[in-house]
Amino acid sequence: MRTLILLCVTALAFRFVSPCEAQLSDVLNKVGDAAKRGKKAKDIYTPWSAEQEQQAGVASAAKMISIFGLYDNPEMERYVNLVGSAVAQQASRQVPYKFGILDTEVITALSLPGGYVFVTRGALANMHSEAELAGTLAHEIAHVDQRHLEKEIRSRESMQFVKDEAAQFNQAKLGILAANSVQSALTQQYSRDKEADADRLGVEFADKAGYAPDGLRVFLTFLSQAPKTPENTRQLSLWGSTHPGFPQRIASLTALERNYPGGGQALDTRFSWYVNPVAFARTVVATPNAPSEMDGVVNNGTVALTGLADGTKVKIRVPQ
Amino acid sequence: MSPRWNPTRMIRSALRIESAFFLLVPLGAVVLTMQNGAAQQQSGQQQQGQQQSGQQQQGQQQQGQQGAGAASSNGPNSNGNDAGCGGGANNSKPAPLFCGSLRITKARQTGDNTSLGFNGVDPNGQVQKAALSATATADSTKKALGMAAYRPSPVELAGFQKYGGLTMVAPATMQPSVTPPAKKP
Repeated sequence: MRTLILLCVTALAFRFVSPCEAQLSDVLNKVGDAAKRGKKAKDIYTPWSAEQEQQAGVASAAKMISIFGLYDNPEMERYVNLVGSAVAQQASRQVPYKFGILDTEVITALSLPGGYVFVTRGALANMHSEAELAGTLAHEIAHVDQRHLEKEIRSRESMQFVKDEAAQFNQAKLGILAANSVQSALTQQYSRDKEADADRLGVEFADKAGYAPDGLRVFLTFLSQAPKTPENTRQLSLWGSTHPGFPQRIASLTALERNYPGGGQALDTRFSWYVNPVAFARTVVATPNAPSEMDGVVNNGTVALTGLADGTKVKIRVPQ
Repeated sequence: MSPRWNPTRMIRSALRIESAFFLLVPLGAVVLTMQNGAAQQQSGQQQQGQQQSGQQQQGQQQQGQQGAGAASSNGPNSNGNDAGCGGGANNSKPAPLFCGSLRITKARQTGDNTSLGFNGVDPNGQVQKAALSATATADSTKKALGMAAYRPSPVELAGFQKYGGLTMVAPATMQPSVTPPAKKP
């Protein structure tokens, strides 16, 4: 009788233990999946390390350069780097900033992760002073400083909840990041608060660097007054699709400038020399009899004009 | 019959255990079912997201194909920017900033010139989809790394700031971690 009861109890226990065991392993699997999801979420929301940011920056910049090309003018590249570096010294987050000129007549400026800041040939050709360049670069430096693009990309990743393989910072991930960065920089606007943030910090950086704080506003005002011709529309298309409207920004920048009454350097002459040294030198030596065929060679801060009527060469140094 | 081996009591207690099982197991099953439902919902959402991203990818591919057509007709290589402007990598002197003397407010370019130098964008001024979806070339990666390699020296930057009347930022000075011992007289 006792054995019979024990057998019954054992059988009864087995009846329930087996399904419970299966359910327990199911629960453990779910706990494991939840841990994996937690790790993915951590990967998404943790800011990139300095090394990861640099890797993402190189991959994105390479893609950007492959689209537009890099303007091959060492003297002007050096100048943009000097202006940008002077402004970037005022940024709160010091990353190795690097500045390049994209070889296109489209007017825009943009930044990528890792401190890559680009201004286009078309934008430079439509600026009139170093303060305008500094203000434009300062706005982009502020985007990098505040990791705006990185945040945009990560928020998009969290919405899609990236696949397992993309959560690793490998080549596949870099490719996705580069595509996302470039696409965002070229086709999408930052949110209004991020743009306002970049304008506010940009004016602050430019002012602290010693530039006139109205540089960006002056440049935007000039662009806003452009006639609506097809050529101008084409030149300004990217600026329009990636930045808020001119009137809105000009108004907010004007308000911001009231906080910086100290003035600053505009440096329009130095800008003219660097951006078009031959044209600048021509204006310096302009005489009624000066031939229009004058050419110039720029080397080490000096432009040597040739083709003068008397056959002499004139060297014009960069104005300080 | 000793009270220790009372079969009736044992059967009753076994039945109690079983009834407890019958109560607990359905309760556990309900909890697990709810968890399963939530997990299925999550996986369903993920699947939806994947489907959406798949659709986006398809859209991008289609746009890329359309853009490829545009690129073939008006790509960076076909607009003849360098050839039209002169200079550039092929010549010793740098390429001019603009092919003409274009200023937005006083554009003096001819009809031929206006299409020169608009690298990367289509006639509407939008980024060429084919270029956007293409992977970076090895040359572009080299140039990006070259950009990272170049930085103005502190002396050069200081001179630039000084002559422009800009703010001079003193480089951060490193304090010695160990105080050197005082020299004996």
